[in-house]
Parts: sequence; structure tokens; C-alpha cells
Amino acid sequence: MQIPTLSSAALTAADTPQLSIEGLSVAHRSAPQTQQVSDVSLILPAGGALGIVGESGSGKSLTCLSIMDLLPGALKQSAGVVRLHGKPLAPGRKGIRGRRIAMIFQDPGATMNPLRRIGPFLSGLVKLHRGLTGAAAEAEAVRLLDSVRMPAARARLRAYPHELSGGQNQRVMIAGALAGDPEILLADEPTTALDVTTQAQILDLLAELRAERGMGLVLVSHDFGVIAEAADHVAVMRAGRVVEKAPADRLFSFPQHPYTASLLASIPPELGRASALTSRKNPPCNRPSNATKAIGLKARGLSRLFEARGRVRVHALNGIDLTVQPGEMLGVVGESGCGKSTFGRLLVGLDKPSSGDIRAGGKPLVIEDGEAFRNSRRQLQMVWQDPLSVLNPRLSIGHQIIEVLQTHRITDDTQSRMLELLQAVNLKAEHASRYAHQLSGGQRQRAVIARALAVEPQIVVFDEPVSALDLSVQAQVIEMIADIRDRFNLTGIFISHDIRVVRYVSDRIAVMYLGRIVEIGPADDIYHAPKHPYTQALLSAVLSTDPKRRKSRSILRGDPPDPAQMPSGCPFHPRCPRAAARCRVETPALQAGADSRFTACHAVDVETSGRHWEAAA
Amino acid sequence: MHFSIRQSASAVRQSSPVLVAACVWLGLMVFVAVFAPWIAPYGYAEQDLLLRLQPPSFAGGPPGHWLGTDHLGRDVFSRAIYSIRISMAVAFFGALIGAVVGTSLGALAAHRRGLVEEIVMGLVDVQAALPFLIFALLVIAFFGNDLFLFVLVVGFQGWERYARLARGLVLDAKTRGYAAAARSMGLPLWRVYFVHIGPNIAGAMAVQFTLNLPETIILEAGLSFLGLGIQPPLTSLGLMLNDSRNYILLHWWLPAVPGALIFITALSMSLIGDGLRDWLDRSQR
Amino acid sequence: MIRFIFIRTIRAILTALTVVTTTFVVLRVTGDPVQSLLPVETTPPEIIELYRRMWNLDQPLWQQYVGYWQGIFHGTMGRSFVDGRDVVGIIAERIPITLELMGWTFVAMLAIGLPAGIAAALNRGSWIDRLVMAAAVAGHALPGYVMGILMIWLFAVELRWLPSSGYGTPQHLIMPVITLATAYGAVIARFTRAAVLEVLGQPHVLAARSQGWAGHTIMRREVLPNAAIPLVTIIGLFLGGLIGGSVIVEWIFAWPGIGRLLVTSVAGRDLAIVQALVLLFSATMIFANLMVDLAYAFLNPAIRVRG
Repeated sequence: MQIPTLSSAALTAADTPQLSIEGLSVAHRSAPQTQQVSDVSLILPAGGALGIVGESGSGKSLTCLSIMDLLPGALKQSAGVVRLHGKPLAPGRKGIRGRRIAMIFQDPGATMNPLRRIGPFLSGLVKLHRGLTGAAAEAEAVRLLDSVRMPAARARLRAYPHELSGGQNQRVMIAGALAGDPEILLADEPTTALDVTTQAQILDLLAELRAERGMGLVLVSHDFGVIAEAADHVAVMRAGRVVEKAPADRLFSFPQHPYTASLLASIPPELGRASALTSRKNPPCNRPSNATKAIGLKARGLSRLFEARGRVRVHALNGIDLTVQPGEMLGVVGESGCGKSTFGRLLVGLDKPSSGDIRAGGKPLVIEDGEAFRNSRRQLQMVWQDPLSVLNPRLSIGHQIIEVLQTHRITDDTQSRMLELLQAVNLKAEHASRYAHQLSGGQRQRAVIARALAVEPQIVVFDEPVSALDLSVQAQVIEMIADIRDRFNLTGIFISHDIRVVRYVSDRIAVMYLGRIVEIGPADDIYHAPKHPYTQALLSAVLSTDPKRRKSRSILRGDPPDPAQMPSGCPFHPRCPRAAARCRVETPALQAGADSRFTACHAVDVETSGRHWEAAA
Repeated sequence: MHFSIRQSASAVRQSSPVLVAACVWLGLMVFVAVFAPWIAPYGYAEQDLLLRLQPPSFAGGPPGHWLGTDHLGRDVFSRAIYSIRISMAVAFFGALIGAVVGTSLGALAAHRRGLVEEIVMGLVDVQAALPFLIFALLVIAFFGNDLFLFVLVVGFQGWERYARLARGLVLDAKTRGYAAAARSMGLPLWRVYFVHIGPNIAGAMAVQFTLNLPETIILEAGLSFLGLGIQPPLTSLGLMLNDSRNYILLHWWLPAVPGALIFITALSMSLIGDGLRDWLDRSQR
Repeated sequence: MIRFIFIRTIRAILTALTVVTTTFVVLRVTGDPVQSLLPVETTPPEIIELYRRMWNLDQPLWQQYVGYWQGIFHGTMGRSFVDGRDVVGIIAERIPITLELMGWTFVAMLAIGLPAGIAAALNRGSWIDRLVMAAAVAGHALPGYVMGILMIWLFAVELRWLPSSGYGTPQHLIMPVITLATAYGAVIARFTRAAVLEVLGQPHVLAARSQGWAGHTIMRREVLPNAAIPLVTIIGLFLGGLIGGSVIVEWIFAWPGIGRLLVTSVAGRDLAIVQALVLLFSATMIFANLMVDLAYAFLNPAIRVRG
């Protein structure tokens, strides 16, 4: 099904597109009838930015690789032609790769040769594409690093990739891509492996480079936010086909294809608006008869030290005080390395704090292995990020739930209770006999949650429960978690790197940075009026697909921090736009503000009232 | 750092008749090993000094000895049958010892961590660094040679690989997988190990066992070949090969029979082990 | 890097200590070597006493242990139980003979294995690949003693091209080296293939292709250096296998080296020689492993630059 809207809207008839793909199909060499990509036609207007978006397995990356003739060995382009300014490209793309079309990839650390320093990497490319050698090549390498806003460019020439952060490596890859002064840049999920604040930096860099050089951009991503941010034409792919293509504004405002519409409705900020999703007003038919009373959690002075790499001590958690009210869902948000997962494990007694204590329902948590620990599992449960690894591959889903019911002697009629639990997480009775590998990602996570619910826990920690799932599935699982939380009267901790997801399910949000809580308060207040500069930056890095909601962004400097290198004073001061002298020496404590909000920031303390974020924007 | 024959297997496996042939051959060897006394026409030490060094029947030898006779007039066919029995038994029971010891130590290391793990893995490193043939020779030198000790020594061959594998698998399951989840569900420890971890790592251990078998066969035959393994009047494939060395000039069938048996049997085991591993890899995906 | 070297060196020394002590303990635990060597019933007691004093077996255990260490440092490891010659002398004269065999084997093994493995990886699924992999599986299942006898039968008996056994001329070297090198070369080929395939599948190779580099440049700059890191580790460990293999090969081809000495000493229960050989093999392996660790650290910038 082809909807040729893009070309007529964007181009006059006389223009030849900069890049065009016509009738592209990709198939297995051994099984030509099973096509991974079928009959894809796309156009990149001169200097434009084409976004290709789709869920995993949609063929978006293969389409991108086909442009460079870089398909994996088992696949081949079975039909179609790729044209640059109307001229078909020859196989092998000699003289094209790196010189007229350059490419960057998902995992910047892995796309660099670990044995090569940055300097030889860049000057090698300069020599290959521009014929410069020696000092001239090195000068050009420095210029390239400057052009991708790499701080201390000359000093980086002697660095190895493992000495740089993910964001810095992606900058180096982009610098390498610019070495041949290409007219088109292909970016295959360029920010997926990066933290949200780094993602914002890289997307801004790409936009600036496009503007400076008049370079065309083909951007492949699973994330509508990224596409909306960077592309002006969008193609939506599903199962190897383009289902819709349109200018970005039109696609996001008026999606034509039902698939596009359903995906857009799954993006967390839009979640509540979608009527298609299940209502949270389900009757509590599956509530256990002896409905448990919710209990709260209290952590005091919680710290966790890790001895990593010999004698380097890593402060994963640094003196956290926190109270979770009975029946409350607390969201915990932060970037990688902030200590949020360590925090979650401590809260359910799966790890031992170095200092501080935790009380659940007024009683201290049992941590050592043994009878008491096993009994405490009836109270505390955890849901992990990767459901495939936490389900036993050799036992059926039903068997694993019944095992738990029997161990804790929950009920005599384990069979029907198991079916009730499956129903509570929207699985069918037939799923009971399946094995983990026979289920989809979303179904697996539902099964994990059903098993956790089997003990009728009072407290559940959800550690990134949806980040391994596709967008459309994410929304359903989030909805389901919100639903069971009401029905099972749970006290919950919901950990995620995505503040949109956290905000949707949580009553309160705690924002973590380098092992500390920097801000905590009611979810909507934090989301709409963040006070801490880090929370503001996190929110500003959230990419919206709604053109009306675009805002000016406050982009953080620098990289996500390394917990092994704790700055003095306020841990956030090296990246903080409002850092003052005091921040470098004195660590701010969490201070109570209005509306039961707490913020750990000297700058906020000084202000009389928090400014309203959206009003200011 | 154990032998990974995975890629090689996928290349050979493309012709799966080879794998079928390997299974048939191994099945035949097991049958021969079990029923040796009923199959062999003569005893393994039965001598007929009048019929020494006779060629096989098809090469003009006497009809009763269709693989000929050796320098003491013993029937080569019967000796081969009994040798298969001995070699297969030593390899199987020996490999079983290594598997049980190695797996237990590996699992123990992963369970207890700390000092126990340090010690076990230290032993593993030392064992892995020392060529096992040399190690076996030393044990024989120090403790003398009897059949029980010999099986024990041969059996220890490869234990360090089981230990490494079991430790890795248990640790992986324990720290971030289904076993960690099972523990956090409050299941008792024995259940976590025997119901959850055990069945999940059994496949990998079985593959390791199959891959270890040919090495055990080769080691057993090697030591016997050096005259330091199975002792006469008992027979084994390595011993037959050793006996035949002096007669190679005129009596080619004497080394050919045990040599071919060792090679084909070890090859079949390797191929089956590779096949099992591939199959397991695919079924777990 | 310095820290890494330090830790590895300490570990190597600890292993060496363990080996020496274990050897000593095992030697004493296994009973009085004199009794196992001399027929107890027929030997006069004063002769037995003489032998015991000659090997310091009459001293207290701790003195024996100290003496044992002194011996190791002074290069006096006692005398052969069998012919009474100095153990160090017996071993020293055989070391170059074994080194000659192993050196050539090492060269031949790499000369066969590395190109074959690379060719197989680059032509995955082709006949070259299948041939190399079939040879690797066969090589793994074909023990040196079968291969050796096959070679003797073919080249010495049937074709009469080469001497069947012995030592002295380059012709004598050919069959032992080929026997050892084909088996280990096939295994090296398999590891090389796996290492190269592993690197070929990595994103940085794809990225280099997208940057427009020619195939041979990618091979030289991206693939081979990265594949070399695991290979160096494996090849170092092969030294152990090679020592084991040389025992068999020296026995078959009557090569008068260390391996043959070990077999005859074990058969004759000449524990003085055996224990000296244990220490020699252990020291070699510990040293080789240390070298492998250091080479690994040197090749790997993630360790070289940081640790």
C-alpha cells in the first residue's frame, strides 16, 4: 500500500531528489520468498531530513543499510534501485561511502575500533577522502572535532574510544562522517544507546550541522520523539513496508494510517487521552478475598558502596531518606549510573545497604538468606527489566506461578488462582501452558507480574519494567500496572529513565542524580513545574511529537557522570547552568518547599517561589 | 578457554548423513562394548603360537581369524572387541567422574563465593595450565599403576572445564536470571538448585560430557600406548597399537585396526557432541 | 598496567610455590622410593640405608623441605635413582633436543593454522571453509600416536622417503614436526576462524566499510589486530598441549628429548628425574601463562592505558 503524498507536497516537478529509493526489497539469500523489506520507495529532498520510524523488525535499519549496500551477508537486495541525484548507485558504492554519503550507528562505543586512537582514526579518514597527510591531516582532525563541539579537541587525539563516554564517541563518529564532507548523513538509531540528556545534545548537534553544511539527513529511529525533533519528512514502517509517509507536521497532527495513530497514542504523555486503551475503572473482581492492607516503606540514611576495579570505591547510593506512604506509587527517575536500580534492590531486601536502614510496615527488612527472608517475600516483590531472563525457560508459565502459590501455601486451589492471576494481567488461560520463549515481550512481562502478584505482596518494586518493550506494548503494560496497583492495593516503587512513563503511573516522583535524591514531590508538580536544574534539564530533554508543545530547551553541558568520580560539593554542579561558588564546596540538603515538595539545590533555596516551568517557556 | 568446535560443527553438519553415520557407529561401539564376550570368537589372551602374525582372511589369511592374528597368535578381531569394551568403559566411567566432580565444585564455588570460589578457581587455573597427559604421567609415576587409580586419573581429565562451565552458568542464573527471581519469590534453596538451575544447565553439561568423551578415549589409549595405562594381559586399543609398532614393516593390519577404531570412535563422539551443542543452542534461542 | 603486571606476577609466584610444595609433599606421601625401587626382601639393609642417606631420606621432613628448596636454587636436584647420574645434567642435555622439535612445530603450526583459519573465515560456507573445518574436527579426533604410526607406515615403510625414527638429520625432523603441527595447526585454524568471524561481525567493521575503506585496509587495520588478542591467549595455552603432544611424538619417533625421558622415568619410577621434570614443566607453563597475560595486557589498550 503506497501513499505518494511526500513527493507532490515537498517538491516541484523539476527537482530531482537528492536521494531516492525505488521499489526496494530485501530478502534472505537462502529463502528469497521471505522478504525483510518489501517494495519500499522513499525520497529525500535536497537538504531535507527524512525520518524512518518503526518498531523492532520493521525493516527500517535494513532500508538504511541498503542505501550504502551494507546489508548483512545472509541478506540481499532482491529488487529496487537507490539513486543519488537521479543516478543509480553501483553495487559496492565505490566513491560514495564516506565521501558523498556517510553513516553513523547505534552503539558509538562498539562502532569504533578499540585498538585505534581518535587521532589516527580521524586523520586516516581525512587522508582517504581528502588526500591530506601529516600535520595537515592532524590539523583537519582537530577542526573536525571542533566542528562536533568536542571540548579539548586536540587533547582527545591521543584518547582511545574506551576512555571517552558514549556521547563523546558518537561525536567522534560524526566527526569521522564529516571527514569526506558528505552531502548526506545516514543516522541509524544514533541516540538510542545514550542517556536522555546526551540524546538531546546529539540531536541538537545534528540539527546545527545540517544547517551549517546544507547536508541531507536520513534518520532511523524507533522513537517518535527523536523523529519529530529532527526530521521534516517521515515514513512509518511496519513489517518491512512503508505504511505511511508524510511531512512531519502533518503526520504528527493528522496521522492517516491507523497503525501510526495507535503508535502515537501510545507515547506516554498522550496515554491518558487515548480512549482505545483500557479503562482503569475495572471492577476489583480479582482482588484476593483476604484483601491485604497496604503498608508503607521508610528508608533512613541509606547508602551503598561498591568496591569496583580494585580499590576504587563507588558510592552508588549516598544517604537517602525517603518515606513511601501505604498505597502510594513512588516514581524514581534518573539517568544510567544514578543508583536507581541499586535503590530498588535495597528496598525489597535483595541487597544489603552499607549503612542506613529500611522499614516496611514499621518492621526492619530481612536481608540475609534464610527462613525469615523467604517469609518476607510474601510482602516484598520485584519486577525486573528483562522478563526473558527472569522466567525459567524450562517450566511453563502456569507451573512457575503454581510453584510460588504452593511454596507460600497461598491457597489450596492453585490452578484456579493461577488462572485468576493470569486474567488480572490480561493473559489468557492458554498462556499457562506456554514457555517463556513462546511469548511476546509484553506477554512475558505480564507473566512476571502475575507471578509476583501470586504471593499477594504489599510492596512491589518495578525496575524499568517496560524499557525493553516496543512502544505500543509499553503503553499496554503501563496501563496494566496502573490497573493492578489499584486492584491489589499495592504500595509501589516505579523505576525508570523515562520521566514521562514515571509520571503516568506515579503519585510522587523522586529524581535521582549520582546516588542522591535531588528533588521529590507530587508527580504532576514535578512534571509541570520542576525546580531543580537537573529535573528541568531532564524534562527539557523529553521530545514531544506535538508541534505545539515544542519548547526552547535547556541542554546540559557535559556527560552523564561516573559514580567513581564524585565531584565535591553539589554532585550536579559541573553540569549545572546555575552553579555558583557555594555549589562547589557545600552539598545541598533536601529542603522542604511548598506543596510537600523537597529540593536539594542552593539556587532554589534562595528563590522565594519556584517559577512555573511551562509558563516560563 | 575450552575447545570450541561450534563453527567447525556447523560446517560439517551441513551434510547431516555424517552425523547419522556417527550415531550409528557410536551405537555399534556401545553394543560391542556391552556384549563383547558373546561377540568375540576367542578370548583376548587366547594364544595360538602356531598361527602367529597371520594376515586377515580377505588378504589370504586363515578363515578363522578374519582380521588376522598378532605376534602371539592372538585373534585381532577378538582383541579389538575386548579393547573397545575396556576403552569405552574407562572413557565413560572416567568422564562421569570428571563431570560429577567438576560440576559439583563449580556449583559450590558459585554458591559460596568468597574463599571457596577463590580456591576452586585457583585449582582450575593450575589444572588448565598443566598439560593433562603430563599430569596423568606424574600421578602414575608417584602412585604406581593400578586399574582403579588409572580410571580415576583419566576421569579427572577435563574436570576443570566442567567446573568453569558450571560456575559460570550457576552464577549467571543466580545473579541476574531466573534463579535470582526464584530466590526473590521466596522459594527454598534446594528448589532453586534442583528444580530451577539443575534442569537448565543439564543440557550444557551433557554437551560438555559428550565433547569430553573423545578426549578421554584418546588419553586412555595414549597412556596405554606409552605402556603406562592398561597393563597386559588386559587389552585396550592403545595397548594393541603399542604392541603392533614393531611389526608395522610387514603386518600393516596390526596397527590399522586399533588406530582406525580410535580415530573413528573419537570422531563420532566429537561430531555428536557438536551436533548436540548446535541443537541446544538453537532450542534455547 | 603496572598494577596488572604486579598482580599477575604475584599470582605466578604463588602458583610456583604451590607446585613445588605439592611436588615435595606428594613425593614423601607416596612412600619410601627406595622400597619401591629395590627388591626389599633380597636387598641387604645396609644398602638400603646407603641409598636413603644418598637421597637425604634419613633427615627430618622439614630439613628435607629446606634442602629441597636449596637444591632448586643451586641447580642440584639429586641423582637419578636408576643410574646415579646428576639429574640436572641428564635433563639439560635433552632440553635443546626437545626445543628443536617444538620450535619447528610452533612455526609450522602457525604457518598452517593462521592462513587456513583466515581463509576459512573470509570465505565462510565455501569449500575452503568446509575443508578447513573438516580437517579441524578430524585433527581433534586423530591422536598423535595414530597419526605418527600412519606416517611411519606411509613415508618410512611404503615410500621409504624418510627414516622411521631417531635424531640427527633434518630428515629425522620432518615426520615428528608434521605429526604435531597438523593436529595443532588444525585446531589453531579453528580458533583463528572463530576469532576473525567474531571481529567481522562487530559494528566497527561495518562502520569502517561505511566510511569507504578498502577491504584489505579493513582487514589489516580492524579485523586482524582485534582477532589477534584472543588468539595470543589461545596460542599461549597451546604451549601446554604442545608439551603433552611432544611426549607422545618423541616416544613414537624415538626422539631423545625431554618427553621420552619423562616416559622412561615414569616407567622406571625414577622419581628424582620425574620431580625435576615436574618443576621444569611447571616453570615453563607458569612463565608462558605470565607472558600470555602480559601480551594480552599490552595488546589491549583498555588494560594498558587504565590499569
